[in-house]
Amino acid sequence: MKGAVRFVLTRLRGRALLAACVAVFLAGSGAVVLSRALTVDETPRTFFDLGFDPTDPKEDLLQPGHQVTLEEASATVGVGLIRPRHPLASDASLAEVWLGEAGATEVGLRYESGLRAYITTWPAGKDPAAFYEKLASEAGAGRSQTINGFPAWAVSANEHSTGSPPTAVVNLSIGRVEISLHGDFPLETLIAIAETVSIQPVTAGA
Amino acid sequence: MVAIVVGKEGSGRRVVFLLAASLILGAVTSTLLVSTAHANHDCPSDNQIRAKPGTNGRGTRVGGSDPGMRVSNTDIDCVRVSSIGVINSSSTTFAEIGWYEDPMGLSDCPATSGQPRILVYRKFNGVPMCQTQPVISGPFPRNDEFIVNDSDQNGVWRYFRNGSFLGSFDLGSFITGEGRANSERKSGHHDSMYALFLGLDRMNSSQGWTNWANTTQLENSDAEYHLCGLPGDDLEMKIGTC
Repeated sequence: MKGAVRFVLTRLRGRALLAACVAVFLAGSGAVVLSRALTVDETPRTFFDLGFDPTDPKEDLLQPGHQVTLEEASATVGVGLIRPRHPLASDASLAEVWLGEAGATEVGLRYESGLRAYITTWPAGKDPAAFYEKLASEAGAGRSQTINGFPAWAVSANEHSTGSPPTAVVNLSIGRVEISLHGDFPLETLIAIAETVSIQPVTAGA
Repeated sequence: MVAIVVGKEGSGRRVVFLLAASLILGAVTSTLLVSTAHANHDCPSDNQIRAKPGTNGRGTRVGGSDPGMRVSNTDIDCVRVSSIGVINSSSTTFAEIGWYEDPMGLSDCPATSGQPRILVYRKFNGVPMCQTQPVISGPFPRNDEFIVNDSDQNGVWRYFRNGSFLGSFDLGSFITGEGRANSERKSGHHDSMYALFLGLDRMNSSQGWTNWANTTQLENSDAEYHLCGLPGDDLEMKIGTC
């Protein structure tokens, strides 16, 4: 060990030692800056945020709401239940089904992939396509489009405000029913999932 | 100077000393620089108190025959917010009204300077939109009525302060939800988060106003402030015990 130290010292001459000191100085600085960067959480959540983090799987998917079976949810909102049929989101990978309460007849589906789907109905007289166009224009975020000929609105995760859950969203309306798909996927993946959405009957025992 | 000590007796210790001193000096210098930089915008924590009534509604009001929401003008370093609103059950879309101060421009709304500004805000599936509103004139503190509602359930939420229409947001198929009373600050201890709501109401299915009841606290992430007034329609968020 001493021999190694002596070996280093004999080579640390003049500018070499100066360079070594500068390097160590920078290493010390870097360590402090890095530690601050790792410990100071500047924007963990958006301001003006009234809700919980819907990406947290420990949170109830609908609040207020309660878990039901797919059959019960389907019976509440109508004959068939609009939903995707995709490797990332199908009845086989459905983890939770939720039903909203007290006038909010909303259905929530949570899949094993992390994808969340919220199903609601439009107020009478409202034009989904016109709303999506207006939304994209006013908010300057997302785009109005059609998916399988149905009106839709899609927004990528990086268009959300700072601190919001970085989640891509696709809203798709089939008739008076709207499904809103939320997932930590690239927008293209979410659109591919939306392309598989249809009104499907619920099989017994689902 | 560095070269002078090299190559003499005992130079090993000196070199080690120099290297150690460089390491310490680097750490100290960068700590001072980082601390100075953060002194101007050290707003590390998001603190929030939120409460909700026991029943959903088409809108939230604070005021009516009661005084309303306290509006203050205090010295703010980071951000403070006092607001009410209605949020959908998936917590992805909401309508919010109240007032805020944001001298550093940390929020989605225009920065403030001196006086508080009216907050007219909405989020639709995570995408925010803030309507630019005027500052609130004194004297302070004062109590104002605030309303946000979608009385006819067409998805268009309308915002009012002291009876004056401020604007609206179209929130699509969102027509009813859970009420909120909310106070926030983004500062460790300096900024005030005091909030007072006198006369919280929800709009019922007959488009009438009903007092909040069975009110519960959803969250309190601030160690200093406490929510007082549960389970009624007058709430106070204050330092110390209730």
